Amino acid sequence: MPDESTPENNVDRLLTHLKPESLAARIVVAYAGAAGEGRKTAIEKIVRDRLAEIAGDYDKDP
Amino acid sequence: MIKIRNVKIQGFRAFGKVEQTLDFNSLIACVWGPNSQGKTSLAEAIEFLITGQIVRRELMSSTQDEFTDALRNVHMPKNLPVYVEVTLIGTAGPRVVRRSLTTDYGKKQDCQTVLQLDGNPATETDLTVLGIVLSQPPLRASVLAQHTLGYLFSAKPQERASYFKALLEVADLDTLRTSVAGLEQTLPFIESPLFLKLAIAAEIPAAANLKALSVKVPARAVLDKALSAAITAVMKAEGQAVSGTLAEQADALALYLAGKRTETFPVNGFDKKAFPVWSPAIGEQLASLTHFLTERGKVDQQTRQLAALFVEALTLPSVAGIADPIDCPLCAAQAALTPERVALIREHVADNASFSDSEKAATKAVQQLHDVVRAAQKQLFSALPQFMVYTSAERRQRGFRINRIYSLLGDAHAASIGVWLKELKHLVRIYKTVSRPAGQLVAELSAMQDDLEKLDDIAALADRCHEAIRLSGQFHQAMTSYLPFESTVVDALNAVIDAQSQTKGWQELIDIAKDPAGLRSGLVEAAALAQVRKDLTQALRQIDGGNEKVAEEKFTALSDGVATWWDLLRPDEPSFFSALRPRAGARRTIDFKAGLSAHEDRSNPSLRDVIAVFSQSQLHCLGLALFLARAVHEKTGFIVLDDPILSSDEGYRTHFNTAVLEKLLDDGMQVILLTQDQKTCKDVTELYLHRQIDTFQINLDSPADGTTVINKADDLAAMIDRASVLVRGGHPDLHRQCGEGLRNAAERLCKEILVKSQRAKGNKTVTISSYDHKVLGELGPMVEPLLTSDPSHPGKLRVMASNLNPAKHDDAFPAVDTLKVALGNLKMFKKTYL
Repeated sequence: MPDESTPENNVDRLLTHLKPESLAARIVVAYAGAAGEGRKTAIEKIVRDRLAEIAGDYDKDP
Repeated sequence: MIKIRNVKIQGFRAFGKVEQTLDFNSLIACVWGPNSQGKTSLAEAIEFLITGQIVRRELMSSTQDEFTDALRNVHMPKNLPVYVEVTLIGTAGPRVVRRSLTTDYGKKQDCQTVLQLDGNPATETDLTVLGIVLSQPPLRASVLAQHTLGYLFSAKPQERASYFKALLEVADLDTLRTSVAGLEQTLPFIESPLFLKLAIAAEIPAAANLKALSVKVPARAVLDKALSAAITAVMKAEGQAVSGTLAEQADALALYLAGKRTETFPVNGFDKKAFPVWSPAIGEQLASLTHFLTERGKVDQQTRQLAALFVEALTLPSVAGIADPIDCPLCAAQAALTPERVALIREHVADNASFSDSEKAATKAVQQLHDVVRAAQKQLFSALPQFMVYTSAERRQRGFRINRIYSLLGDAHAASIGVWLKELKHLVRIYKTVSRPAGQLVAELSAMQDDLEKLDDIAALADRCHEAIRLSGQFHQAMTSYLPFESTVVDALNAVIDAQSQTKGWQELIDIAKDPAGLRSGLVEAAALAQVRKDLTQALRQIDGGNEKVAEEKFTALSDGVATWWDLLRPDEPSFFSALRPRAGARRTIDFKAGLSAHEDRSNPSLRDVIAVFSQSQLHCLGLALFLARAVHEKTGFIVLDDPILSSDEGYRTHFNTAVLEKLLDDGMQVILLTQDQKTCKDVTELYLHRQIDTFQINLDSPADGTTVINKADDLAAMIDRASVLVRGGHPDLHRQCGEGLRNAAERLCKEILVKSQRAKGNKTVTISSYDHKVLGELGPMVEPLLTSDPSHPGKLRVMASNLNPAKHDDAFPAVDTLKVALGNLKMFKKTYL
């Protein structure tokens, strides 16, 4: 029998193998948090956010 | 987990027109029958109920036509339905599922069925909701038959991989991976034209320092400095000095470039000013003019001419204070000026004052309208490309010739030039449509400025103004359409000119130098996109690695499960099942590995593919182990095993009957075992008597009647045999079971005596089931009068019934000696009265 710390689904299992807060983990979390067609939108948003995050880092440099 | 309480079958394959029932009261049931009596039909009936198909057709038939009309018993009357029905016990209590055959298999055609749940129409989804587990195709039902054992070994490697991935439920991770892999496609393209211009400018030999800007996004100050250095170097190479701010340097380079270009072609002939949307607010002006016309209507021409004289006359004291008629001060007519006439003159003077005010406002309004229309007319003109404004002589003099453009651009751009000229003609036509009425309107307003008397129709003037506005909108639209076609030609011209005058990249350098902030934004955008692409590649690699680990974990769990069942089936063999795993570096291949050891303890094994090294018997056992591991993994609740051990594998039969079945039952799995081997049935029956095993025998005495099922547990002799075994056991649980068995046997005895008596009296319709629901306490008094062989018999029956009653309760059961006496009496009654 699985103990309490055993992930119940594949995505949770996958997350245990990914570095927390990495882009891969953020994409997988977004994917798991949505359903159906919403998944595509959710993971695309993560990429857009990452794009803005990188651009924002450059903007800090006057 | 869900369990099967009973199965009812009519007309399915070997089963005939009379419904046959198998009641399962225990976790384990054994169905015995010689070959060709209907065992496989029973297994397939349960498979049919679950899946609506029989997999044998898919796996064994070379042409599926061979299964045409295979499901309906050939001897079944056409009006009788073919169905399989089960009562399932799950969390929601007993539920009855029935699948009826409506159309049998045909040539290249699947069978058609109707599913019902508790008598109502149902769907496959309802079965899943009930808790029935449908595994991956093709082996979807937890029913194992000889023909399904070898499927996975014979399947192609990719089919095997797909099967196991689906079985392990990791296909969702593949879907996730595909979604992530597609993310890069959704990234935007670099939109900044300045970024692209930088790449062109950096190709100027003197401006090679610009290349570094694309490698790493520079700080703004660094960027400005690099652009300034590039312009300075370019100008220096031309023997020109440049100074000032970056913008001034860019202007200087632009001026120099224009001169260089003009030497080849007067491309500045395309210069023009933008034509904004023209929509002036002229309502106020038109209102002023309307008011003016109203006031003018109140005062006639003569009054307006005399107004100054009237004003002067009214200032005379005699006129101002008139009470009686006086002589007219202008014409001296006696008593001609009465107080009434003076009042009338005052009215004329007042009207004329209002008129004068409105006249001033109207003059101003006409001036404003004139200025607005005139300005628009000028803008319209300025919006035209300069070459259109030139005279023919000027164009010749400047060298702006269409033929020259064709010559410079060559055949490759001939089509573009043709389209541009066509659009140009359209633009000119629209320009003329607008400029003519605009010019007329300017002239009209100019004339009104000189003489307001020419204003007499406001509505017509307003119409002309609005028409001019509308036409200017048309011109704006035409210009918007025209510009891209012109740009195509101009860009091509600039490229050719720049190549000829060796100024390629200069325009781009000017453009980026004039907007360094925009260039930096473009550089940031490009750098961010490149970084995200890199991040996504890395993320996908991490997800791939994670997916493989998840699959490995699940494979390991399933592999361990298979190994467990293998070891129970074939313990202590030096050749053994080692692992089920994806092949390293080949994600689409699944390997079954066998360990080959020279030692009994399986030490230092060499690994080989099972297909290559296992015997048929070993492969058979591996298939069984895999099936059991899958059923446990998927928590199917029940399994149906149709002769799972080969008749030649006598040595492993014992392991199966003991270790394997015991573990399955301990794990809560319901096992329905079908066998043609009488010894297996006998052994299993005795081994699991303590679990109150259900035993059945199936026969096919008459093909017309079909397979019939006999519940061996209901047979009086079998009941007495079981009780005889149980009473010998030492465990209290066995004694309780023995007591229950004897009580059931006593009830059966009474019913059989009653049936025999009734039939002797000529009542041929009476059967055992005629006394269903009668318990021993009711049956005893009915039987006692029939026990006539010995006067002690009625008393013995009463005592036996009384003694066996506590056996129904958990907290008390008869003593062993009491059970033995009851058993002896039962045997005696059976021998004496039956």
